[in-house]
Amino acid sequence: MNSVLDSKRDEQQAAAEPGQDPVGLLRRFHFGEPAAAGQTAMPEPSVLPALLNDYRDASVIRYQYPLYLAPADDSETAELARPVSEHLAAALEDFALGADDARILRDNLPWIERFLKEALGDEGPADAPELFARAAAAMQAHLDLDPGNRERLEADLERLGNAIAPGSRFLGYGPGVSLHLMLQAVRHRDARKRAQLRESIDRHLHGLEALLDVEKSKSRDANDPGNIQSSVGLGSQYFDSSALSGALEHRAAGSVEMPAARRARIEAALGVLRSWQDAATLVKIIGRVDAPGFGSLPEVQVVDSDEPCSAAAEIYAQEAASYAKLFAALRVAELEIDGGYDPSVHDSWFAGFDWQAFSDDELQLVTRVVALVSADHLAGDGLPSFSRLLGSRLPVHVLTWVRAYDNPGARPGDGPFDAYRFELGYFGVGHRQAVVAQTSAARHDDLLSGFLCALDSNRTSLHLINRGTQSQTNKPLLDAWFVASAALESRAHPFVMVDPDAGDHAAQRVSFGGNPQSDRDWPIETLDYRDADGETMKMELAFTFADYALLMPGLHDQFRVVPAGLESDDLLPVDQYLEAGDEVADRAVPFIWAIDEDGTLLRLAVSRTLVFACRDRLNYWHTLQELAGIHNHYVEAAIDRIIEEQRSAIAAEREQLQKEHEEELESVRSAAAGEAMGQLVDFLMGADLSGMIGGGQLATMPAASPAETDAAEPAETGDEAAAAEPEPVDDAEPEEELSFDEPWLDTASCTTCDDCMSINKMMFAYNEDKQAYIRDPKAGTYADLVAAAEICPAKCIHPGKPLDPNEPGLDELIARAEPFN
Amino acid sequence: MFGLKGDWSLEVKDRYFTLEDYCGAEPRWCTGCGDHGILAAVHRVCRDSQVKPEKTVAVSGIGCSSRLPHYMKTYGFHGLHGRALPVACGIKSRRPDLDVWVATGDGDCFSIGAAHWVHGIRYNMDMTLLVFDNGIYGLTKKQTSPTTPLEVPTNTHPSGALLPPMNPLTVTLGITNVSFVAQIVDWNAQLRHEVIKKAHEHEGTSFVRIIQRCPVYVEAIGKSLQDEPARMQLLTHENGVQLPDNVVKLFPNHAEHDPSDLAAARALAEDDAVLPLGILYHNPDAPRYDMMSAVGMDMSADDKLAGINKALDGFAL
Repeated sequence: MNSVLDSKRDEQQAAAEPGQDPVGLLRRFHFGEPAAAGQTAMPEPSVLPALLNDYRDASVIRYQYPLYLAPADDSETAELARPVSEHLAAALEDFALGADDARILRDNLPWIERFLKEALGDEGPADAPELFARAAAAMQAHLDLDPGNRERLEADLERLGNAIAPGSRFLGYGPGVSLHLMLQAVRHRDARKRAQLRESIDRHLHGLEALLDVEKSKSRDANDPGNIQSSVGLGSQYFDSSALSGALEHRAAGSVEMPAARRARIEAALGVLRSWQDAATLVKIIGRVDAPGFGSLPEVQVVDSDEPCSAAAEIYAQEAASYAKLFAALRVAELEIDGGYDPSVHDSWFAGFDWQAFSDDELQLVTRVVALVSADHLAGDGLPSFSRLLGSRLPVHVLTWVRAYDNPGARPGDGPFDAYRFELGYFGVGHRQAVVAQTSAARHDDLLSGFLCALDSNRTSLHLINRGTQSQTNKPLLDAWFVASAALESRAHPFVMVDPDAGDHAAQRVSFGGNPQSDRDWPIETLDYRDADGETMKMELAFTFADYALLMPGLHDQFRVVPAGLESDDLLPVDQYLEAGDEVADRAVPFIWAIDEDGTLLRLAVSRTLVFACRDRLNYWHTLQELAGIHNHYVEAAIDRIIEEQRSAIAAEREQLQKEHEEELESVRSAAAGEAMGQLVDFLMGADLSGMIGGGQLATMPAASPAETDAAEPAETGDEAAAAEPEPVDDAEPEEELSFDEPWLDTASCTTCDDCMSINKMMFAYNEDKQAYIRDPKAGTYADLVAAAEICPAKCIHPGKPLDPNEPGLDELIARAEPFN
Repeated sequence: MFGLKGDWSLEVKDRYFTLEDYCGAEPRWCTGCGDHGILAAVHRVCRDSQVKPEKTVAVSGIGCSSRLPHYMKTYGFHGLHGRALPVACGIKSRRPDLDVWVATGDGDCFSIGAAHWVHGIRYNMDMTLLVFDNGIYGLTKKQTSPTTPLEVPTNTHPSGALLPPMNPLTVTLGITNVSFVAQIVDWNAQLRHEVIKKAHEHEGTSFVRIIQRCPVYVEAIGKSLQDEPARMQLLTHENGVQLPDNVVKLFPNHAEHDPSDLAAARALAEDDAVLPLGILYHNPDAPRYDMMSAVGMDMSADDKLAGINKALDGFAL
């Protein structure tokens, strides 16, 4: 995106006081000298990194949120969420193919988007059909159209509304989006499986009951009136079951009865299956939820805890124990129904049946347990239990919000850059067998990928999410979505996902695609601005961690304004400063470009502390790049080596070929010279030289043979020349003449001349653009159509074939219509 | 940046205008008249650009073409014969915020209004000047106009026009400070719409000559052209108008022409062999008199008085 900015400040404003060295002063600030910090100006609170100036007003910018959350679907591949803008635009394209179809709705789609965005705010999701209906009604009221257009718009809104499925939701960007999207992922993954579990329970219940019914039919009581009545079922009231019972024999029918132990086992399994209540809860959150309304959702249960990691492990064990009874009962039922239960083998197996014996499918059915922990706690007092959980094999998920500018490992009272940053993601990767997803809430697709990967894997997972919604006194100027995006762009919170199921090698496990320009140190963007002369200029800028830090009002003391117009080779953009050697770094002052509220471009010198932090982030970025196979030192060295080897081999081969070529040339040259000399001698010996005596003609070379002449110059006789001339190639294939049976009007070519309307107003009508179309071909005669086609100045009416074969004079009309079809 | 797509702007308008918001009275032009299509194109361009009707004014002189302001639900000025441009320039110089359309005809503009045509083009005020050229005085029942072709009989010249018709393109392209010249035929809707749209977008006086059919008095003029598309030549260029292939195919003759090339535009205009269609000339940087005449409009009467006094003080003894 480009910005057009006001000019840089007047160069006359250079704030170099007489006798002062402004660069020296900034250098002293950079090195942390308090006096110099006091003599230089901090940026105004309204200053933004230059590349982010366009985003001051988020309400006029379309970004990925609000989202359309599709209802839970049978298909695992269904799209869980997509931007509302994309969803509505795609839905519109489905029923309005031409640019002018549904014109009013198309032109005002942004209005609906804006309405939804404002109505949703940063709260939780809202029922999509209901909110869309409100938006549609509000838009009608806002546009206040004439009745015809109002009706047209209403119909188009209804068609658009059909794309908003019952049960779908709209979700605006706010602090709770990560939790809501996690729940959305769980719904899509688990709702179907829960339904299948219920079917399985019911099926096994019937199977076990059937076994007991068989036993019952063998008993002496099988022919009791009550049993007879229940066996007959519907219609049993029409006969006397007591009389029938009396007529039947009363004795045990079976030869072998079910052993008591088996019967007890079946009844126990039946008891478990009958008493199983389908749980409404899909997710148990262990920790403190800060998303309004999330905890009260029916699928969610929140359990408060000061130590969420260990509490989550315990709760998972309880949940799993409960499911172990169910799964054991289902397995027993399966074996009993098939008659395959062998007490000598299975008794001991079921005695010790716990979650570790669950199949992958069974593990997926256990209520999801999520520990919601602060990053500070994970990196501080909670570190041991966090580490234990990551190594536990329990399919428990850890979610934490990461402040991208801060150090979660900092002790209370420490500054964010006092120590190297504790990288929780790398800590998670170090546990090797856990799924790790470091994602941004601003990128819903990355976030969902991380959740789905974790849910499908049956592994412990760690989700480090940056939301851009810091709860600090001085909130950033930008909308939280842009702050979170800036964290991703500046490598403050890079995207990385590690899926241990994908293989043992980093190349298989690590995903890195969510990072912009991932092969560079920092993303490079173009800034457009106007210079002091009003000329539009362009500047390539790196978006660094220092730029991101400027978004945090609490970090403004790490910057000082460079006086306008101050030019010095010692002033270096941060990215170039970081690349420079120690010698340059000792004398140079790093800066970033920023923009104040008035749109004036300015430079901000950066403190050494912040530069250290930039180096630290860059170091982590390089580590992740290597994991992802980007700029891997070993690989690059190997490539260089192979290239060098190939170059040497090619050079040697070339040298050899050159040598052979020269030898061959020399030998051919010698042979040719000998041959030419021989021919010359032969010629001289056989030639008649008498003509030369009189000073006549000079000797001529022997004439070429006729065959050679032909080959060299084709004879230019008329016929042969014509034959030699290439046939003209006509690339354009002859176009097939199209004809139409149905009458047709090329509306886009209509000139609005009124001619056809004057012939038949029922047959022809104008569209929204006041261009004609055939409203009803049966509303007139074929003669009308032909007359309209003949008079139409744009020749855009094509009468087709007559609809009524009995219309008089058809032969003549068809002949007249032919030129227009 | 930020993965934002090309359509990242979510600017919404406070008001939305449909075609009906620009449609005034029911047109009373004859059935089959090319003026209907021109009017429809103006309505569409207004709707597409969402100009506010109350910030739009249509100005005209006298003639069939000049009934256009009646059919616009905007402000309008149905002026004196030949005086559409002086009125339009007056409006633009005092109300530079208004979107000005000028509807005039071959008689109104090229004959009685010729002087204003020359100076209006030179002033280059921001307005869209549509000349409905049907080659006849239609409103007054078939008199010879400056562009009536030779030998077309009229009520004033029953044996046919005596003088060769004027070439409005060469005249316009010869006027100092001309900034936009285009030519279209009324019966090609897409070309008509695209050119009028470009003319409206141009900031300066956009001169569009529209060869327009009068089916009542001189049907042969338009019809002969319609029947012989080889007499027309479509101008193509990346800076000209972009048309779909099916429209381009209607014209057997094409010429690649850079609209910034004035000399080439003049050569095209002078070529009698074919009628160039499209944008002949476009110079977005030509100076605009309305920008100069608007200077000081934000000054109060007191400020102006003070300025005058200050200037006069320079002559005080």
